[in-house]
Amino acid sequence: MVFSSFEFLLWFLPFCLIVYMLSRKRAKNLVLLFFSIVFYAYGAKETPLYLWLILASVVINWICGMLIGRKDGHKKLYLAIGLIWDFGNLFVFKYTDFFIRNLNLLPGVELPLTNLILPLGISFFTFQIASYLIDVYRGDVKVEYNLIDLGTYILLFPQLIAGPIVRFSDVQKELHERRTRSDEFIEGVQLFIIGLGRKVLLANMLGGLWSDLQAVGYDSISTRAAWLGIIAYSMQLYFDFSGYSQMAIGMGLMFGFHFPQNFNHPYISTSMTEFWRRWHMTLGTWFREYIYIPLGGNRKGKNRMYLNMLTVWALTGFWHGADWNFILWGLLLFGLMTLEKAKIGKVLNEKKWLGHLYMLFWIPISWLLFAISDMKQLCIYFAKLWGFGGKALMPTDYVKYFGTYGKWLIIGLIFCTAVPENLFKMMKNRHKYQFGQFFWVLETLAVIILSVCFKKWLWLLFIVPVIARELLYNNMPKKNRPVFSQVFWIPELAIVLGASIYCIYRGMNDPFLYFRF
Amino acid sequence: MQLTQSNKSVLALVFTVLFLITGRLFVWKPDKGSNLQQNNPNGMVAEMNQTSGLMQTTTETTTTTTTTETTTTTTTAFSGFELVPPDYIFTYDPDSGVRYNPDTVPATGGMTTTETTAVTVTTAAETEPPETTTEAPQTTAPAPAAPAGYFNDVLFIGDSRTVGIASYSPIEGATYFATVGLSTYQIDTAVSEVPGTEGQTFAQVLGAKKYGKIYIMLGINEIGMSFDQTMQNMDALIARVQQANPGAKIILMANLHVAAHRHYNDAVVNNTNINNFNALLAAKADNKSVFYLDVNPVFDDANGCLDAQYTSDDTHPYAKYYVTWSEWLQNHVF
Repeated sequence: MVFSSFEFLLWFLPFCLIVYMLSRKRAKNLVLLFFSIVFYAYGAKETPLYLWLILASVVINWICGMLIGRKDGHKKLYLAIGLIWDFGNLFVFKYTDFFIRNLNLLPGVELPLTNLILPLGISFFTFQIASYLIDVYRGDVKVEYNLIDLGTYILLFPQLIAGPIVRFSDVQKELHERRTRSDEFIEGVQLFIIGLGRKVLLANMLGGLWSDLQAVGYDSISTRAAWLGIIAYSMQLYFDFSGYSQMAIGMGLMFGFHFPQNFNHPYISTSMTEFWRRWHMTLGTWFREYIYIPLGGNRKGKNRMYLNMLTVWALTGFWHGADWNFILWGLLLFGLMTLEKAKIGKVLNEKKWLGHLYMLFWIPISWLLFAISDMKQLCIYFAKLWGFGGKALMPTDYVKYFGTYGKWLIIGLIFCTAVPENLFKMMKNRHKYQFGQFFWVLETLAVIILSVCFKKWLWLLFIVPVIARELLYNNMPKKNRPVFSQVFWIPELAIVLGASIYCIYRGMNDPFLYFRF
Repeated sequence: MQLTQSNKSVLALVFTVLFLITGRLFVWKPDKGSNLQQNNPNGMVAEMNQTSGLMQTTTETTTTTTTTETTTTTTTAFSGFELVPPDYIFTYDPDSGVRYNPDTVPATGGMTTTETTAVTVTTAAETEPPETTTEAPQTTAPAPAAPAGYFNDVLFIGDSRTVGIASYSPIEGATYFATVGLSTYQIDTAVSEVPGTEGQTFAQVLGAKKYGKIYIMLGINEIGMSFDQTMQNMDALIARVQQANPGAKIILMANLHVAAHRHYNDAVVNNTNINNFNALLAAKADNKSVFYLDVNPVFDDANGCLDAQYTSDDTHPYAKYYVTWSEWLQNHVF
């Protein structure tokens, strides 16, 4: 069950929220656990055994956690048992086939592939459990004796399948004692809707270009289309993933949890190092806390530091997928960051424009390595970017693609920057800004541009509530203005929600919309 | 270890609920059969084959079709509802190189899927020339290549696959009325998206000039609809095209198969339905003004599915294979 589906939006989430709100304080975690299990069971309905696997994981880690907490001198053993179970599962389900395929390349080795289906979210929850065990071992967090609470932490459905990777120390206090404040609940709803919009309205639309190129075959596209495609893919990846994280954080707030931020406008970075401080921040934190620093970090000399970085980035690559291209991708990141650390980092930071140019080049290139697992296809695509790799069958195909996806690319480009978010924040605090009327001018312009772009003249009607709101605001007593600006944003979010639901509905009701031939 | 009383009772509750959920899931099977049922043009649903063993493909019935010497062998595999294909006539015309290719999905015995595409039809080897189903068309009957200007009075009507031909083929002079998702139901509401006729309606394209040959390849977008209704639409379309272009040849092109992955996972768009649909198209051919043309043998794998290495989305061939396709078209002229 993905967040951007009707089952989730119209049944699961409202039902879960209602039961959660109505239940007594002591039962709240149990309610969350129950709904999380239902969520997981629904996702794993083709492979019911995986549900038992994750539950066994919870119980084993619960026991291991308690054993580590006992001060009887066998801490290390129990930690090892727990980690071997967790990472053993991850290894078996995610990496076995990769190693078998590579072993089969050796002469005389003929091992059958296991063809195991990856259990939902295993990469994420393994890291979460491991963070708990290690933190207990280090004494950073207290042992969790309550199975319900620990199970809720691991299985909590908002962050179960696609992050953010919440460390136990982030939420332990809230697992035991939390309350949903009404303003935070509203904040959560906002974040959820914005995240949904990013996923459904931006990522899904942009994703069409990449799948179009796949259908055409990389060897038949033109160079310009290849660039368009990889740029669209970069944006799709970002909006998809960050939208999902945002929905998770929003839902967390609805339940009273404060999950850590996962994305902070990564595409405005000026160096790869900065990029990874802004992209999937919880994963970066995890690797720093549990791999990089234990290995010695930067305290054991330069050479050791580069070796540690190599380990971390190779593992980061491998975590993203069991294929050589992911390892290559990790190595590319390592190479760039080493270069930045040793030589060019200072220049990039001082000359921002240079840094942006540098990242504008490396972001799509690095995602290209991420996107294509087949090495031969990867080489073809890479050659395409530089004008080699076969004749384009339709040399003007980029005109067609830009005609179809150009407007989404431009909108996506705007949303990659921090401008829309800052504007939204300012709008929510309309009364604090002197030039508040600036917003309605801007918004009217945006509505006109959009309706022209999409040739939907009815959208122009949206100017009416924008202007009406402005008039209302200007004519109301000054003391009411701060309250009014709290609900100022409702029309915009309603539009995003409505448009998202409409798109999901079209895709669901008419299977031939997304699968038209 | 501490296990409080409330922990225990809660555990018991959770595990009971879990057991109920998973217990149901273990027996849960998607009921794709009901979807298929509505597509059965004859409305005939064979009884569930309970006598044959699990996953055992057995030859169940052998029916001889009425008018020709061709024998069809209906093979049924275990699972859900089963379809009986319509009675249709297989013919083979070696002169024109046109073959009315029957369903090419062979009985792949023991295929363990929950898919209910159970019925496969194969032509019996003793009556049909064996090369018709086994060899690629180019090699069997080297039909004359298209004379210069052959495509100048050709109109292609079709969906995304025809858009692909229009975009990537070296064919020159042809007119296209094609858009992604086109079906006979939308023939009057859709507009063409292909350069040359972009933005034009069907009526505009049809009225623009007189066509001598009209190629129609539609069906995959409406394969989930009632076949009866679709066939009525198709008849109406043919009549309309003929009325606008008296004496023109209509070439009904078979819908391209989908790749095996989709075939086994899609309850609607699978090769069983596509073959049933194509068979109905083939039955419309009279070989005087209406012809049937099936490109599938060129792109099929051994199981009668679109070869997976020709496609990334299991449905559309890569651009370069549209070139192959149009070269094949140039070798099969009318």
